[in-house]
Amino acid sequence: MKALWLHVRNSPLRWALPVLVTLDLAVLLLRGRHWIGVWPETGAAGQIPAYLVGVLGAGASAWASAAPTRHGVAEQLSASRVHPALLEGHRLAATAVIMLVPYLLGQLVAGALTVRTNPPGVHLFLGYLAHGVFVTLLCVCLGWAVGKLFGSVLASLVASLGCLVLMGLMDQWTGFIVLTGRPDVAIDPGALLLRFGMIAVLLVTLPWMNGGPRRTLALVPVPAFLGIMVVLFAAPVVVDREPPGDDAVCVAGRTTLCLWPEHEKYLPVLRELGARLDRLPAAFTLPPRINEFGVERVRVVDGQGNEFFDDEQGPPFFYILEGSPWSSAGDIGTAISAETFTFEDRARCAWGRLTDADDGRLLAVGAWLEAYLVGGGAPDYRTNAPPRIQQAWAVGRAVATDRPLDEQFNWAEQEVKHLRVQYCEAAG
Amino acid sequence: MSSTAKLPDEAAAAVFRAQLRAFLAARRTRSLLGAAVVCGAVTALVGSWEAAVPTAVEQGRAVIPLWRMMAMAVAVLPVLALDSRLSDLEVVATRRLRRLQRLHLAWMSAACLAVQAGLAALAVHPLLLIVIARSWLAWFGLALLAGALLGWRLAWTLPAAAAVILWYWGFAGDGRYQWWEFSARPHDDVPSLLLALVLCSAGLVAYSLTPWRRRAPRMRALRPGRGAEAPPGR
Repeated sequence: MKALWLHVRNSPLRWALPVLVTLDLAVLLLRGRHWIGVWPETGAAGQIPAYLVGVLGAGASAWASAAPTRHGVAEQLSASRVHPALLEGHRLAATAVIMLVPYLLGQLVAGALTVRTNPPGVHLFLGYLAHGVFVTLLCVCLGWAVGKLFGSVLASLVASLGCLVLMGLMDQWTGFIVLTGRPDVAIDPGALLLRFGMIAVLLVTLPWMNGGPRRTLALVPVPAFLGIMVVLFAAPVVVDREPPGDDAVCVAGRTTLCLWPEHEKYLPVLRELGARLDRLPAAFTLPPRINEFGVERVRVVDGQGNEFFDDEQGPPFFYILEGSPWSSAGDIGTAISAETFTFEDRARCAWGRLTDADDGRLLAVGAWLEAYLVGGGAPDYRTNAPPRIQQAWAVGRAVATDRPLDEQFNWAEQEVKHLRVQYCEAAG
Repeated sequence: MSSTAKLPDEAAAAVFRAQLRAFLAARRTRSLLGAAVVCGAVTALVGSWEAAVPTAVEQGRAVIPLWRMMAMAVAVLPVLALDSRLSDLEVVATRRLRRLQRLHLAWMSAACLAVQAGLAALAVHPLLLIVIARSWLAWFGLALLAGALLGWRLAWTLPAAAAVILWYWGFAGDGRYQWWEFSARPHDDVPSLLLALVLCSAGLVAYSLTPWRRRAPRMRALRPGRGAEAPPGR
């Protein structure tokens, strides 16, 4: 351990540490803060800097790896009493330790911000933290290998850009980059263990990349890298979670709205939304229950014995995306519209005859419902829907912002009754 | 400075060629030119392939086409070529070496840019060549800044850090970019062009601030009575 600490203290990368720590914290904090208060989102937000600092870290690792050739001591090291592989192992371990410091500091800050409200689900945070450690170590190993193969002038540039290209390729093929920590998914511990196993193999084989012509050096890390590629393809790291059952937090009312327990920070917002839902005129038929996505899922077994979740069945669901109330209000509004207008009921309704004018009124009601449930304000999302649809939405939103509540309810009731009378047999 | 007696032209040319050969012997010009050709070839073959990068814009994943990454690599290569195997000796070198170094930098930059633009023109839309040229200026300036401060071998640090900053915070969502994102703004965008020119000039100024020039004012101040004697070297 003394030797390792000696290598860490004298590593050429210690000067880069302040820069990397600053970059890590900036990437974590200089963006939206909706992740604070939800453990899986915190973990996912904390591991995003691993990708960006990893790109720089690969270049730094290549720089550290090429240090003996840079200072011209390759021959002295090969003649040392300590086995060269052991020396290289110490240097690689010191580089990895230095590269992990910015990442772990960032995760510590992220965790400290969330632990103040103490929500449930810490184990999910640890999964994302471990995934970030894997990404950082992968970048370090990649940089180290490139530093051994290229001269010290080109190595860092090739390592940085190569790391970026490789991450992009892996993301395209296997979904390597984990961006969000929704509570309905989690990091699979088994897949993570496989990844760490492969990284351990890589860390053990890389110190043997010294002495000898470059052609033989290039072959040394190939089996471990291939192993990592196989694991990345075969074992996806983000998997669906089991529904929480009784642990779900719910808001009672005309409609029961249920959330994942990890999302308990959104309970006040949902309670206000539920109160506004309860005041909706009777013309609207409300579904008995609307869940956040994943709280209740119907498991289906098909003909070949494969099990999968069928999201068409079961109660309607909503998402909470980036903490925005518009995402949940939009989905809840859609569920209410579907229940009120019974689009799927072909026996009693003939929505195929929908005229353009009535389609506009339908869209306006939907937009009003969404804006009313949010409780005011402009939408925080951008859309590239056709102008006709956007105009219909604007009509509905104008009703929600300009008119007093009674007039809004009257207008909504008129529209709903008109549409149901036009297109469905039973009126109201 | 040492006065070279007036040599006949052919002798002066021969001397210059010998100096150039010695200068190039200590440098990795050929391998870096080869690297530039490889970058250009990669741009020509798979330049439009896009790597995904996380962004600060919510739930965003910006895509970085490969030609933007290669534009950065090709701008950093001429600055990396300034590094020499005799760099410790060259610290005390003066006018002749500086002249050769300037020529080397100018020719390598022109060659790398020409190779990249030429090969990219085979595969990339012509307007994107303007974007490549503009971002090349900015990356070149950043590389010169980093190289002057940290040493020519570390000239990749500032461009790489700036690239990470650009790619993470520069994407404003919906295919639009911040005004300072010089590697992705449209070809006719003026603010990013001005920024690229400012960065290029800053890099050239940093390059011209040799240790002699930095100490010259102090040395002149130390010798108040001998103002007629100019400090040695340029």
